[in-house]
Amino acid sequence: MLLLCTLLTVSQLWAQNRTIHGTVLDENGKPVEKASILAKGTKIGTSTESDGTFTLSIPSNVKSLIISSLNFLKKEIDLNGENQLLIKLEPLNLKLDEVVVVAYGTQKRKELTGSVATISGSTIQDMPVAGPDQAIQGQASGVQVSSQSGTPGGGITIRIRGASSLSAGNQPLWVVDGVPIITSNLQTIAVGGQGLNPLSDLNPDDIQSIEILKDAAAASLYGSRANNGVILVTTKRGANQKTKISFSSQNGIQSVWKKIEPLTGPQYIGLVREEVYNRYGNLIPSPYTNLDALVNALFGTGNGLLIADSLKGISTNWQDLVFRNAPIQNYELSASGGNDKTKFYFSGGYLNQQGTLIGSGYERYNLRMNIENKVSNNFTVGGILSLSRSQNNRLVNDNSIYGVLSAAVLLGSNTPAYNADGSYGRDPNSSVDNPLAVAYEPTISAITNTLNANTYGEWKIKPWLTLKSTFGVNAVNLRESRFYPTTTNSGRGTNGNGYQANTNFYTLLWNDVLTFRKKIDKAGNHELSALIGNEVQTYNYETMNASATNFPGNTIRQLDAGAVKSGAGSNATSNALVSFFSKADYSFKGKYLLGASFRRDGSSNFGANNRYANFYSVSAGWNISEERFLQGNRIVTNLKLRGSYGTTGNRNFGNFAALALVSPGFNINQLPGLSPTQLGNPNLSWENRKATDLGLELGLFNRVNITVDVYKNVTDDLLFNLPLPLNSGFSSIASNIGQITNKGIELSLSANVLKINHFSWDFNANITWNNNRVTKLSGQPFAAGFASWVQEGYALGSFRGYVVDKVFQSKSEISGAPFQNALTSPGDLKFKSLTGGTAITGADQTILGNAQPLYFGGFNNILKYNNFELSIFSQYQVGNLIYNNTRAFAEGMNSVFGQFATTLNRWTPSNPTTDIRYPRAVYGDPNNNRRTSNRFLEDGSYLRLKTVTLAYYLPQSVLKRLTISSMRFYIQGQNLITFTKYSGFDPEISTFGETTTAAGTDFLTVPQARIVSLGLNVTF
Amino acid sequence: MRKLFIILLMFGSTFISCTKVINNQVPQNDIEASKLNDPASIRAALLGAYSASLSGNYMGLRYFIFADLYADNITHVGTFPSFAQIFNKAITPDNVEITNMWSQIYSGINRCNTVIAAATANAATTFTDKNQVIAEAKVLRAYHYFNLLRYWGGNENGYNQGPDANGKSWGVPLRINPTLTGSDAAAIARSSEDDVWKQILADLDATQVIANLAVSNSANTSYNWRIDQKAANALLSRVALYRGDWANAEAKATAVISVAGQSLLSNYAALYGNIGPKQEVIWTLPYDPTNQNSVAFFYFTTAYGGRNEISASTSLNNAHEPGDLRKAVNYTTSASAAIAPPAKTLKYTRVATGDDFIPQIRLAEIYLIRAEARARQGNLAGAESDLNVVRNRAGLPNTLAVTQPDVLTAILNERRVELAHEGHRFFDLRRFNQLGLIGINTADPNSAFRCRFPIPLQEILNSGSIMVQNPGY
Repeated sequence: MLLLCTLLTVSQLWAQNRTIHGTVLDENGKPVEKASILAKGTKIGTSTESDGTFTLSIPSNVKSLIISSLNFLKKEIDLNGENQLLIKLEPLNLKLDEVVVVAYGTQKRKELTGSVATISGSTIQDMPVAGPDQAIQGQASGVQVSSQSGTPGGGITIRIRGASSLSAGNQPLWVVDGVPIITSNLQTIAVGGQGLNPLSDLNPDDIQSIEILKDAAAASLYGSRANNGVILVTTKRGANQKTKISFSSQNGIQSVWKKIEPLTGPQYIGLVREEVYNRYGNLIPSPYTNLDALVNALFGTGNGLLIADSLKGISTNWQDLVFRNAPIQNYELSASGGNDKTKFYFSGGYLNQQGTLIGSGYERYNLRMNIENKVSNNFTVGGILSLSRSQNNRLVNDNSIYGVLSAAVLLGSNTPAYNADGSYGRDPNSSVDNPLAVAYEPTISAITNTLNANTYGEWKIKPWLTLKSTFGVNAVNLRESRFYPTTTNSGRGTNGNGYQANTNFYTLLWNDVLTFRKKIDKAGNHELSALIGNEVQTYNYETMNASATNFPGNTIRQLDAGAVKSGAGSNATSNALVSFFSKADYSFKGKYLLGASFRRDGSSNFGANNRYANFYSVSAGWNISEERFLQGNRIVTNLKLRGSYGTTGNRNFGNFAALALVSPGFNINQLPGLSPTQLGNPNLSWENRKATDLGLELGLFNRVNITVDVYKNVTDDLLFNLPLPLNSGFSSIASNIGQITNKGIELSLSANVLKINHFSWDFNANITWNNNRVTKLSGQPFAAGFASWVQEGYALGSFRGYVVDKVFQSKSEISGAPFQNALTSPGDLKFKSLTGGTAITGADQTILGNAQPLYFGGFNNILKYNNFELSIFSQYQVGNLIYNNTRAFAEGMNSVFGQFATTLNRWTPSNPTTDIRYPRAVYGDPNNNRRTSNRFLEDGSYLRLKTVTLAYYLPQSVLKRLTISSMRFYIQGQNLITFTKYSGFDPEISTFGETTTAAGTDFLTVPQARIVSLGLNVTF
Repeated sequence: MRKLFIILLMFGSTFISCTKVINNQVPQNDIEASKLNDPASIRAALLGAYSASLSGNYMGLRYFIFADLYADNITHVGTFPSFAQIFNKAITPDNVEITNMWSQIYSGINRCNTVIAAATANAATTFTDKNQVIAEAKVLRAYHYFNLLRYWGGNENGYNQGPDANGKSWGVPLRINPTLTGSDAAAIARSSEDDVWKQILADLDATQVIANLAVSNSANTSYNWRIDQKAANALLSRVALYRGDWANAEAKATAVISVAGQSLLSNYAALYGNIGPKQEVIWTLPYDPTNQNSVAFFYFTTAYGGRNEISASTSLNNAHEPGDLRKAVNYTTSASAAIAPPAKTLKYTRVATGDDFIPQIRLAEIYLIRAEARARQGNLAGAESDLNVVRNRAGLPNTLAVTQPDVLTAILNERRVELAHEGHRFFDLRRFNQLGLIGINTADPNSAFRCRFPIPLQEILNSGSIMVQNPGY
């Protein structure tokens, strides 16, 4: 104050002064307190009072004032002789000025030349999902997220700008607090197609923000692991403020949103009799004398009628028995705070998600401590420690006929759930077990203990030069156990079958990064920021297992009780990565931006000739809205053009794929044997991706933000096990073959649509078109999964099979058509001849479509009124096909398996349907109506009302009385409605886990759950 | 300045020391192929070569089951579509069982080639059993090629019958050197049937190979699973029989029968179990709880702990003469319900431990080989004498056949019931040119081609146009 008076006095001596009076208001007309007023070109200034007014005495040669305030756009007002001013400030578009986490550092969004999407922690909080990978579904353009199955804690497939590898992995690199973490499925027990997902042990409530690095400029700094994009996760930190204690709880009920109606017991019996009659007609083969005797022999108990009198009329709906309403609970308690020296964040969480299938569930405990301490003005140390323990009670499912859901679908409804004596009802002629037995009797559990820890020291050598050194560890310990008791088919023969395994997978990381940031000229127009760093990361894997059979009953399930030790083993492997990297960014007046990066990786994975590889990127950006002609424009408030080109790599193909190896384990009579198992390829090298990106960011009226990216990614030297002639003794050799191209357009929009009085409406949406093609493939096209096919010129996930022409309606049609089988009859399917031959052969197959969507995305509406908030988030995928292999079994009408009620539409002489999905029922299917064809290929497009949340914030008046800082109640629905034409359980499936080549296949995959929950967030 | 120096020092030192980290990573579960060059490893590689036959894709289940499933001894009652194709004799080239079987046999061949090459090249003085190791690998290799020819080669009239009606000779690709590099694995064409027979005979040569084998392994092992001279001669007599070389077949059979300490077990049912009785089982595959097979599992119903995929056929049941003690073993009834479900076999019942032994060659078969060889040469009395040895053991009276065709038919039928479930029926029908009995009409080109299995589709695709598919597929 004293200084101000002195200045004023002095200036008054030198020039004529004028006094300006003004009021500063925000966009709603409310006064802005503590806004700072500066006379441009001078050091004279003041700040506004609580009513927004100010008084300032300035020299008369001052032309304008600059008004600035936290959370508002800086405004420059031309004085034009006015002495009374009314100034309205526009709120900051937080999007532009936010600081974004990027590779090895942070950057202001305005200065980015790469394509980075940010998802804030508040968006993914309170979602009833286990891990962050599921939570980001539909939230960012270019990022396609889909669950592989509805199993709790199950695998999630993420594709950023399309799939770019055949077999070296397509999942992005996950970096948590600067440490790339382990995300691979470590299970040693096969439970159908499902896997374990380490990301489900990372509590989403601990996450502050997620950044997705999509193009080369953003991701190239991660070099040989960045082909599939990089996802950076930053966990919550404390702040220099009073300690906040928060508590969240969520309780909900999960239910299955769709069941498929099966045939009733009597309908099933009618179907099997029709199957046999259609096959043999009146030519019953000896020694059977009549149709019933033959049916009994094929389907019955072997020495009785198909259905005993006491069992007639039984109709078991297995799906009703195996699906249940399952509870989900999630609790989190956290404390965050600090002072100017120390900041901390502690949290503890508990999640219990029972599965909608009986006998399954997932339970997790989390603990976290993030601490940072300013040792001195120039030196900061910090550490992160996160522990989690989860138990996953698993069931065999997905891609296995021995699973719970599979048994529920494939066991006929004529089998009772329990026999009169209390034992499980079974069909002795089917290899399918009783689904209740499969669910309740075996024990299959996976306990995962995860440690994520890092410590760092940051030394500010100069204000513009910082050195940060980080040491990190991510360790996953997996303890699996499985026991099949004698009450199951799998355990009966061996008198109990037990297996246990213990696996450790840990990675150690150390890096040093030197960061430089300085305006290199006096006027401050040229700003240069650069970093240079080195890094070493090792991965170590070890596992051991044991198995035993012949147990004294089913109570003791530890292996000590098994009298016959049938197996024991252990193995270990490791790899290491050593890197040097650097990056430079230059900006001129914040208008013109240039960026470049370089990384050199050395990896132990590859052949001696190819240990080291270089990756680089160049990028540029133009902040057009900083140009004079757009300065202060009210319509176009932001306009930026950016582009980048660069290279990344993929090395995820096994640790020693380049070596010629001989392996042990080929034992005979308990003597050890060796055999060659791998052909060497000293030239084996990385996959290499060249990524080009062009982006436009547009802000309108300071309320609407649109980002458009156009990209093209070409991945070469695809790592692949190239098939060899089997007579060489090897089935394949690791090779670099082929090329995959992804081209696409991403669009994302966020807008404050309406803001009047107490009501506001925000809308954001994203949509992506991605075109994927295998542009080169050495060697032959090959099959994958059940119906999938990889061929040059077609997309990954293509389906190939026969084309159904029609349903044969008469014998004359059959004799006039190309030969299919001697027993082809009316009611069988006619397949198209694509070669014009006289018989239908394997050459009459073609590409039928593919599992990639034409476009996908999500949109979110957030409506606020007073203390209420309603958010409606939907997510969709359009144009993808699904191969429904479940129907090949449950609508096959050819054997002992239970069938869906849709088979009532089947072709019969009295119902001569033309629907190719339902030919006639015939035992043994001599015409092979079930062969791979478009009969089982369906449209998998869907629109899902994903998350609807209605929240109420307790008003300030009530909070003050309770001395609570904030309190929020909400009711939420997840997966409430799904619009789809797909006839299977769920359009969001992948029975083969995260495969790309066999994507879009459904075989007895568990559907997603619909969840309704109530929740509470309190902060003290 | 000092700070800068410290920083540079840190960078430099970490980078240099860390490059060692990459070079120190070595496989922990395997050894590099170049290290397979000392006698101990080579002996272990020979054991690895033996173990190729243990696989369920080969002699551990599929190879011998399919010979009865394709014919009339076993029916398909389960759910594998691939098995259904074999049972219906409607195999498509992409059948996964055929592909896996072909792949496993050739894996075995490559292992034999590896052992032979490594042993031949090894000059260590400690390698005293070098010649025996090479000989065992060669006999194994002969066995593999013989097994390949039986399914995929020959013509519609049998084996070693010369070119077929179109002048083509159907053999298999011949590999006699190990595949060590990618270029070694390049596609090769199929050799003629004749060339494959030549290689088999070369690998069973009396002086070059069999003489180097141990005379007898019986004393050393609980199973007769290592190849000794008796087993090699037994295999040679079977090979000669398939080739129609009757004199040689008879001679080798005699050589085997005259080895001391052998006899047919008086109780046929007692032959089977965990260990094959050495006096009758000449060569076997050994299984134990750590190395299990799933034969019983595939037969048994779910109530008995299996998957009920296959059953003994009623045709097989009816093929037994009254009073044949083998009938209850080859087609179980409720009388043995304590051990096995009905319509199965008592030869494979150990589903809990998965350690039924799987016979490769038995003394009974040698008698039947000699009987057939003698009958073909006109020595009917000698043929009947050998035939009766087998019949009497089974509780049957001497054969009533007198003429050569009757004696041969009697031998064919005897082979069916004596060697049921042991992988002979389909091959016997081919040799006797009696495929009509199982519905393959060798006069009709639309049916005759089913006398052979298709070469796996991916083999044809991955060999370019070099490899030719069997006709009809």
